[in-house]
Amino acid sequence: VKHILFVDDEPRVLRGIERGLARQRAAWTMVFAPDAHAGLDALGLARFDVVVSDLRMPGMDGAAFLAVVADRYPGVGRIVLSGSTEGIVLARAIDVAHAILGKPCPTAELRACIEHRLASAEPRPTSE
Amino acid sequence: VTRPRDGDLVAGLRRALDDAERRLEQEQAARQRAEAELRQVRTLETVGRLAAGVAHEINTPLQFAINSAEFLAESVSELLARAPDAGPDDAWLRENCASASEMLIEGLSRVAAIVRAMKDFTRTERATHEILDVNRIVESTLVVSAHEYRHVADVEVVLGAVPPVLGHPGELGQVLVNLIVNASHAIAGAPSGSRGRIAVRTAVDGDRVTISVSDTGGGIPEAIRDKVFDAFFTTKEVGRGTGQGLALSRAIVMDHHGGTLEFESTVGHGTTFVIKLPAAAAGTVTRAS
Repeated sequence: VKHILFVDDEPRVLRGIERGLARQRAAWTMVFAPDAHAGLDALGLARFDVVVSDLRMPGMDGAAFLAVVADRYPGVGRIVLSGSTEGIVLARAIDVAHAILGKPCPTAELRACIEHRLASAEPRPTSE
Repeated sequence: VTRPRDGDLVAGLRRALDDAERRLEQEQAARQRAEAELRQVRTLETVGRLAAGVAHEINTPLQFAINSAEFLAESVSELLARAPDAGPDDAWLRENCASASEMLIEGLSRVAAIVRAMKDFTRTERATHEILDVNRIVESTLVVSAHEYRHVADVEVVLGAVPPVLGHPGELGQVLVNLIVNASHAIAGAPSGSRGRIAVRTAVDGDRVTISVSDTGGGIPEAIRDKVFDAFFTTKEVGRGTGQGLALSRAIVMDHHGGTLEFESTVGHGTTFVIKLPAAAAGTVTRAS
């Protein structure tokens, strides 16, 4: 079973993803965190394979969060799911993400992106 | 008691005065143009900032709305497949649940496409040239300017396999909107008053990429053809045109992109404006914004 962590400050986005990916429940354990700190707590408690994070969040933002993830858990796949269109916000994310998805992202695309990350991470789980 | 030489002096002074006046007029016109351009740039920047903020605000609810709509569509069809059929009313409900879910997803996807086009269009980074897909700019422009032409014309789009160009997406989009708005006005103002056609085509012409916008409007009368690119020249009533659209468009295409903007017009048949932009050389290196 793969572990996927989703971080977004809008609870409805998390609920939408949870419902949309409900069919994956047999293969994936999905954890939902309302902010970066809750996300880091979750990462400290279990081994995750992929993290999907929003960028603009109060407190620690997504780029800072993913930078910490890259540093502490380099083997974890990092995907950005953001509604932001500003170059400066996205530019910071490029350095710390394996993939950047724009909101709104259809469930099928999100699933495909996570699956791709899982597949490409497997041969070398801890190297980047 | 004027001596003959005083006449020469007076004439000379008058000429100098005329010259000075002419130069002053030219400089005032140039200054007015520069001010108009600056106002336009500032407006675009404000609109761009607002649009980026609005896009972000809309995209978040769109994310959970689309996910939820997809979930509903699937779940409803699953539930319906399991439930026993209880007569003709049921059949109607089943059918309409399916088509209503499809419509819900389609509507939300369309909103998403409009937001995407709007943000493509109002990019605020100034003076940054990047490698551009002209066809994508055409498509975004047609989405954001749909309300300008939808009621007066059908649009035909023929996108050629064109190489990329080096340029500023917001500025080129602005030029295209100008041309499409002008085409719509030309059709709406044509004597026939009937629904017209706007054709937008992209093509390759040697080492240039061409974008043409043709309308079936009334055409540009011979008498004013050499004035249409002049700043503040307009044939439209107050409030409809500022007389800056084509002047700015030409400045953007020529000065900022090294291209040309020209037109051909036949009175009674319509006008075609053609933008020609140099294709980006293969291997051109550019800095992403």
